[in-house]
Amino acid sequence: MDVHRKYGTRPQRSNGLKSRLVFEQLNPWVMFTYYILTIAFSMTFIHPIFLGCELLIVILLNVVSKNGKQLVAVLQGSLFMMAFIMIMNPIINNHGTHIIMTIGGTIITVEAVVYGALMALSLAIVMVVFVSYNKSFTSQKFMYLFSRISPRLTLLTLITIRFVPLFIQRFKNIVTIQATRGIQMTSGSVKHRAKSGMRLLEVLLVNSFYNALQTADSMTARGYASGKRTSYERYRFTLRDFVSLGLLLVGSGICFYSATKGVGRLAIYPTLGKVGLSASGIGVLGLVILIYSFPIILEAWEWVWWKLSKLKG
Amino acid sequence: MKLKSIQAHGGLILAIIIMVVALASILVFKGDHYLAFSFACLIASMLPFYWDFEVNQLRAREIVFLAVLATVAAVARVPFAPLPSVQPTSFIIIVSALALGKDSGFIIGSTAAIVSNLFLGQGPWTPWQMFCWGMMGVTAGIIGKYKWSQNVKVLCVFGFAWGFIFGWIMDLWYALAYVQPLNMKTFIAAFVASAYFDLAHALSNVFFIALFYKSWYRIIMRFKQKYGLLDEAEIK
Repeated sequence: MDVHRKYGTRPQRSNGLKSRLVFEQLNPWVMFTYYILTIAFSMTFIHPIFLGCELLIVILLNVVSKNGKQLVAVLQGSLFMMAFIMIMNPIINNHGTHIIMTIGGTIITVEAVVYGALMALSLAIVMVVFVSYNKSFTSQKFMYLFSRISPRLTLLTLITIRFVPLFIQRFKNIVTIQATRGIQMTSGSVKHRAKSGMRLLEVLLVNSFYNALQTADSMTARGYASGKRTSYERYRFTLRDFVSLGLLLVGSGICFYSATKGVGRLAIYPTLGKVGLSASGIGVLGLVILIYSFPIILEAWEWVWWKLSKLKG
Repeated sequence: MKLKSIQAHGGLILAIIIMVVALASILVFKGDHYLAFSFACLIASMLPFYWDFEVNQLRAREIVFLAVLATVAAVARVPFAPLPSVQPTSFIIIVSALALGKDSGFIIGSTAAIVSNLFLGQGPWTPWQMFCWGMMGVTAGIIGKYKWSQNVKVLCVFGFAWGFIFGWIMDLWYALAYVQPLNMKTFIAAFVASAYFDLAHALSNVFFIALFYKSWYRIIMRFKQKYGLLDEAEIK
């Protein structure tokens, strides 16, 4: 047991059976819908209050599912793009009525600065949503969704996914063996290191071709493509999935309909509008917050239910 | 007979329909929601290749052969991690496409993108990377039909150009979505911001093609002929 934990050699699927969040036990279709909706909302409701709430909730979601480390890394990585958006918008765009200053003939307006900041915020939300996606939406689930649409492509992708750790392992062996012949990447000029890197990859390629073609022959021998393919993991569509999906779709439908009426979108050009929300704006904000915090609500619900059932017992 | 020809060209027909609808909707909405429609065009441009891959009855050997090339292209990012901006992924995609043709080139490129991102992290850039590397494979496969493509100097120019085209397409995804208004200034600024990385990518392509094109091409062709894989005349 301990050996497995230390080196992380346990196959992923045996870890995957125990999901941490209730949300991760839902049908992949429901999870996928949730991620699509969160990204769509972050691009639809360009308003500081909406975006601020959304960012806080997705950060909270990542904290609940314990991906703090990846969260920080991703936010650091996207700083460059966020800075680019925040600087480029005011420089390129000189629409708007409130002028802050002019630099060398370029007019900087309040409107453009606000727009740039909102867009950077929106990008940050998308990035943080993908941190959660990468953790919760395993490749098994991804394949489950797409094997119906395109079975051959899914097979190809699945084989490739399996090959990656295998090839890295094989590559390490090759590096060790070739080091005795003086081919290594640890010292020398960049050119020399790149050259030896390619030599090593060449060995990997030839070696893997032979092994893989044998695998393919054994696949054919065992009847690959002789009938319809079955799936390794099954995801049932339960009543809970059905209700969740229905609520998500109906709620988001109302939100998108209101968005076409201009609710929840800050008027920026030509003049900056008021940040305050109308009554319908607050309603839509509530709905958006509910949809965003859907995984957290499920988690809290389960927690409360557990406490209650313990009290009774 | 008629059904068969619809099946064979279905991907292309569907792609053209989607593109026409998306472009028409840009006109109808007077330029609003251009992000969604340009994304639809991006997906539609990849559709015919995936369709062909689904329809052509490839054998297990051929699928595994493509998987090995896609994996090596994806894994190639790992040993080169200590050398910043130098990675032979593009080189491997170009060589494979030259040897195997445009359809296989597309599949290898786009699969390498999606799989390497499964390990390095998916993001909004994934479809754009799939498109870039896929199209790199397609163009390499197309020039591979001509004799002059065996000239290493020509290929170096080709690799150099793709280093920049790749970077420029990858700049689009965030410029399109988050900067307004869109004009040439936006794009030029985005291109300048990424120029250093694009140049490194372009130069490393040239380096790998100049030194390793011949040997890698020979290896792939040897396996292709020895095992009779992906013979275009046989598939069609």
